[in-house]
Amino acid sequence: MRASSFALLAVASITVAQPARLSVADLSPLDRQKEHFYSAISGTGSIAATWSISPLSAPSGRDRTLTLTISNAANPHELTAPPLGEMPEFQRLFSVITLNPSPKPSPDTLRVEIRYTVRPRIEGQFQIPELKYRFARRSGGQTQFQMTYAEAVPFTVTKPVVPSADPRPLDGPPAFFGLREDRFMQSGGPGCVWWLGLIGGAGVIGLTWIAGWRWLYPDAVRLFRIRRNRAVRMALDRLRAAHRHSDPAAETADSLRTYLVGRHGVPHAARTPHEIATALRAIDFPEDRIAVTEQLLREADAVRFGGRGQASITPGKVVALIEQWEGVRG
Amino acid sequence: MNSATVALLIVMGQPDVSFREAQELRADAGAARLKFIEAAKGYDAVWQARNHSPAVATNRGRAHALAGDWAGAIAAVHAGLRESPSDTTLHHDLETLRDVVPYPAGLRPPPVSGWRSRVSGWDLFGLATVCVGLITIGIANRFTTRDGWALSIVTVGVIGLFAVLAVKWQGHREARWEAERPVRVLIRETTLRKGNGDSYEPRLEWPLPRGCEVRELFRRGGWVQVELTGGAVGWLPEASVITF
Repeated sequence: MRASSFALLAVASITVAQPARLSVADLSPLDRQKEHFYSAISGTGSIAATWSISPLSAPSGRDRTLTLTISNAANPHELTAPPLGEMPEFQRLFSVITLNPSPKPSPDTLRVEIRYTVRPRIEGQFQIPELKYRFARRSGGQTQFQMTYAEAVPFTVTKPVVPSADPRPLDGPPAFFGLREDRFMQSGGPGCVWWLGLIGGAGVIGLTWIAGWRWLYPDAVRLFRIRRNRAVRMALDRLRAAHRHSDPAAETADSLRTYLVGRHGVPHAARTPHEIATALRAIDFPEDRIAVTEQLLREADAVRFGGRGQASITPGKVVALIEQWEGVRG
Repeated sequence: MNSATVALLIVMGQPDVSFREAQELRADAGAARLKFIEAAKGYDAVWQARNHSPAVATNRGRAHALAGDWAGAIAAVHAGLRESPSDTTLHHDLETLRDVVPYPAGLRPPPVSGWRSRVSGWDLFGLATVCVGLITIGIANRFTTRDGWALSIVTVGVIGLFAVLAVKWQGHREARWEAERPVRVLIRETTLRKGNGDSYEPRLEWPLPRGCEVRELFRRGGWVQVELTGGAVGWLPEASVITF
């Protein structure tokens, strides 16, 4: 109940304080035709007019919005737009001046914005020309006119943006438009380190191979050692192939004889078992080996010349004998 | 551009990104060219940072070419061939670029030849590895089971290794010859003169075209003595050739 009473009191105060609304219709026709008068009547304070332009900097040929703001007019709904298009200073500056349509402001509006679309003529730095703005003031039943100014505002017109011709595709060899991706492939070739590594690696692998083989096959090592002697190697190769010979016993005996000649220095002239045994004794060959040798050779001769069918001399037996003498076998 | 920035460029593949963007803008020559210029600058930085892979050389040459810098492209490809003489892509790109240069008759360089251009260092190394392997196997066999084929494969290995060394030696000679007569590329149309000065008469009736490849023989007083493909010798201002 008390709140409603306060509200009614406030409305009554505003109604009482509000002055009588001024209208341009109250002015004489002569007053209304004064130069630079655009129907503005001031209320309690002075009227202010200001320019603004947006954008401040833009290329030539592009339209901008020029705004004239009128403040403190008592009759905002009656204001008329200054005819910029008829003013020489604006005509010099702009090729196009168009008043933008806008809704009529309400009588209570304090600021009225009048917008124009303008298009600068040339490039450079310019100023919106100062605008004389006359307004009326009613005082004591009389009308007085005062002048205010919308001050100049700088703006810039840059070079026009040249519209590019229709874009043309970039010409070039088709292969050149591809990007090569194998970037981890390096240039040049291997350096000295690689070559030294190759030689060193090969040496290490070879030595490892030989060492491993010798470690795994100790007998083979000894066999390898005896094969380093040409007489032994040839005798063993002949004995291993003797079974293919037409007379294996003769081939076996001859291989043994060749071995003794090449390896132990038995004279070539020693052909019979006795001669060979004698030659072996002359070089201090062990007696047991001499006996075995002589017996084997006699058995071979017996097979060859005596017609005995089966001899105890076989290539394998002689191979085993030679390997034993050479220390390969125990 | 410091080394850290260049390293970052390499890691991020920034020139590749620009190259790909340029590819997408191919329909608009102006925009694509700007991107290719950006890519070319990026590849130049990567190359200066001693990333001399054939891929970088190829992309660098292509970016320069599509940016309109044909002379720079030829120089970039030559720089790549100096590091990877046997790279077939670079050979192909060089021939394509030479097609663009309006060479007078008889002045177009022949395709790159020689052993260096046919066999790469890694190919030789691979072949040498096989040969050394054969030799190793043969020798190891000779000292172990002593099979009959040991000597044969050692022989094959030694012959192969000698062949590899011969090719490598020839390649070394070719590289030395190249170093003594480095390739230079003209960045603008220039008159070849008989002496090291503008007052000397032209050596040829017509100026050498932009992108023309010459071999440098000597330098004196801001001028370069060069030899053309046909054997003609003359002088060019230093500022007219790219040294890479």
